[in-house]
Amino acid sequence: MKSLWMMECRKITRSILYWLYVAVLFVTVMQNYETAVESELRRTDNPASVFYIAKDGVYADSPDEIDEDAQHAMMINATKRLMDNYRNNSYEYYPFGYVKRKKLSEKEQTAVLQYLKELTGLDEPSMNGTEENKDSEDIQISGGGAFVLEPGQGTFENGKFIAEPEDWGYVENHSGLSQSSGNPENAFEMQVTFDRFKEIMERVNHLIGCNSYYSWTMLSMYYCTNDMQDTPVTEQQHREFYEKDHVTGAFARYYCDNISLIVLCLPAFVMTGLAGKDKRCNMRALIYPRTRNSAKIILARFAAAVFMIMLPILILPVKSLVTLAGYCRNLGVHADLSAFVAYIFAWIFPTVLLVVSIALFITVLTENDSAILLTGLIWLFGRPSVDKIAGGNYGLFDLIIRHNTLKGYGRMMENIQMLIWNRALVCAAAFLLVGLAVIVYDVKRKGGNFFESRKSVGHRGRECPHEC
Amino acid sequence: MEIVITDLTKQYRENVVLNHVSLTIGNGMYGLLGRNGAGKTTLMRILSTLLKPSGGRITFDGVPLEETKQIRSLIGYLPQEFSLYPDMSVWETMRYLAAMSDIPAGIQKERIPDLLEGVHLWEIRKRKVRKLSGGMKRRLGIAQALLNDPQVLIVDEPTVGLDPEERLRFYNLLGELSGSRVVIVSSHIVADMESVCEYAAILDSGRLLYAGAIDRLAGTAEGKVFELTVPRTELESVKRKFCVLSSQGHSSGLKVRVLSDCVPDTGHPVSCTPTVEDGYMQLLRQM
Repeated sequence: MKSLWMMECRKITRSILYWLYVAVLFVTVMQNYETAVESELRRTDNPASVFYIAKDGVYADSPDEIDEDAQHAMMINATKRLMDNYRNNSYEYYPFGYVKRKKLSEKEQTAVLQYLKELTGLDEPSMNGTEENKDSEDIQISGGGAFVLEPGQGTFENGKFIAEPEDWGYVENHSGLSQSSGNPENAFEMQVTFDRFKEIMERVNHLIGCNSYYSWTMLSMYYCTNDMQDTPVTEQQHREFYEKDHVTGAFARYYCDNISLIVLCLPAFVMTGLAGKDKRCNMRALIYPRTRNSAKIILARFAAAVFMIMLPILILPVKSLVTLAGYCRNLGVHADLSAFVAYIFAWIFPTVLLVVSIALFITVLTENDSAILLTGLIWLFGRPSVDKIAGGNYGLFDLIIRHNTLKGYGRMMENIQMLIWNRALVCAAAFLLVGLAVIVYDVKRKGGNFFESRKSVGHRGRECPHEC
Repeated sequence: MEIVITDLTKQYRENVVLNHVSLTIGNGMYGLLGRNGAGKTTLMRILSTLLKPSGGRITFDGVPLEETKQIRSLIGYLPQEFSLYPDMSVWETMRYLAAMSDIPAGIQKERIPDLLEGVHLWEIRKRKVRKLSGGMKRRLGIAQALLNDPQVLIVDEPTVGLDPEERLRFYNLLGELSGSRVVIVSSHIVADMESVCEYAAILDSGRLLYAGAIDRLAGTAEGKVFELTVPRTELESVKRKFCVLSSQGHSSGLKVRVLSDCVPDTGHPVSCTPTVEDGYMQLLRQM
């Protein structure tokens, strides 16, 4: 069985579909996950970073409910973001669970501008920041203070602007300063009630498309749960990150989330390619009359496909694991080196098993590529809804586990029971499908016919193409 | 080894592909003759456990066909149309199919080189299958069919697409293999079967027309083969009246070999000694 499994693995390595899967996985991990890790490591002094360690030991409060302060924070932050999106004409939305950017038409931009005017009371030049404050720069440092370069300081030499250390002045309460005279995004007061704000956001959401950043689902997720990246960490999150997740656990969850949509579909290509190769290469008549048990053949192929699919998933986070472990060593905190393996096997492995087993069963049954179509449909319609991307809100029949934040360990643990049931169910479904595939394969080997005409196994088949 | 086929029937809805065929096959080369669509491939696929019969019974030395695992350990099969994984080498292909046959690694290491040497592929064992010629692929096909050292080798139309030299080599190879086992080989070329098989069966439209020693097949056309000499213009008329076996051009006209139940009344008929092919044609003509 082992030698057959190894030969099946080798067959997979010769498949273009497999390398396509690896390439997509690699690009996704590099573009999304690795970038996020680097970005998080660059902003360790930012109170919103999971790495942030408050010198005074004071962290943000947990806004569990939408009280007046939370409402205000939501309005201010969402309006700032909308202003920024308007200026760049680049709006975030989540059509497939992943963030995308959209450009609005001139008419739509005008509508957004009107809403911004209503929200902030600012005119267009103020919002664009063309009238004021362009000549004031600041560098924020931890603890809320900032070095501020006031107008008139610094000199131009050979066309370059040079600021000497003495040109910068330290200001303790930087937030107050920037609200009054900093970036235009910070220099406004909300002009509408919370209800009117929600109405405007709904209309903006309608303009951008479904599941934009301004949908109520996303706003409440960002500003009511305090688990998305750009909200300051609470003490509980800080403790969870360093004491429960041991740093790497949070990144392992985030890594699994990043690749979850890929493993919901692409492994089907690998399995279909392998299981359908006998027919494409006209090999069935040479393999069917062999003495090896059908269960052993199917299991060897299933195990080979799962192994080869899991291999890059396990290898790709090694770089970030080394980086994170190094960071933890410098910081003197404990890093969980097995976190990636644990999360990958708990979260990703069951999904891989299910997708591969669906592809295996359908391919053995139909002997065509319809498994790819089916898993494509599952990918389109079987993804968890966007309100689950922050994690914790698990359903029994979710095919993938989303957790698009480095925080949220506590929320995951609150629903761990459902998570375990979900993964167990997915695994059980996968093994059931493999069992069915064995039965169907055995029936076919003994001359059973499900869909094919009499001209099937070894009967006037076409010659094998050079690449199959 | 003795294969006993009793009252075998295979039917696809209304279409009867094998019609109550009864046959006994012993050691040595056994030919299955018949036109395309006669049922030869269907019979071979049933014997190879790839197809379930609709009725009848088959035993291999008393072991019924339904004992699939046991039967599969006895047979080696080379289908008419087959390919191999093009990106595997000759050696890898043999290893892969040996693993599929549950052959232990130790035995594989001894047997595979022997088999590849036997079919003259040892020197090119590292060559990819996609780079093999048609004849080489056929020989590799035979080698893979022999992996489990089968007592019954089933070879379906093995020489299709091969040039005469490869064809001859292939049949010689089959002849060497038939010493201690049953080799069932199908073809619609009578001359091929005549040169290599001791026994043969003829199928037509799913029915068994003949089963027995191949050299006795000629006897079925005894007194029914004539050679006529006719002008070229009369060939069409001769074709309408008789079953034409062959025609040969001469300066005086055409020498036409025909099958006829009575002495032809045209073309100065000369009675001829029938060949195996004449006997085969006579059987088909009777249908």
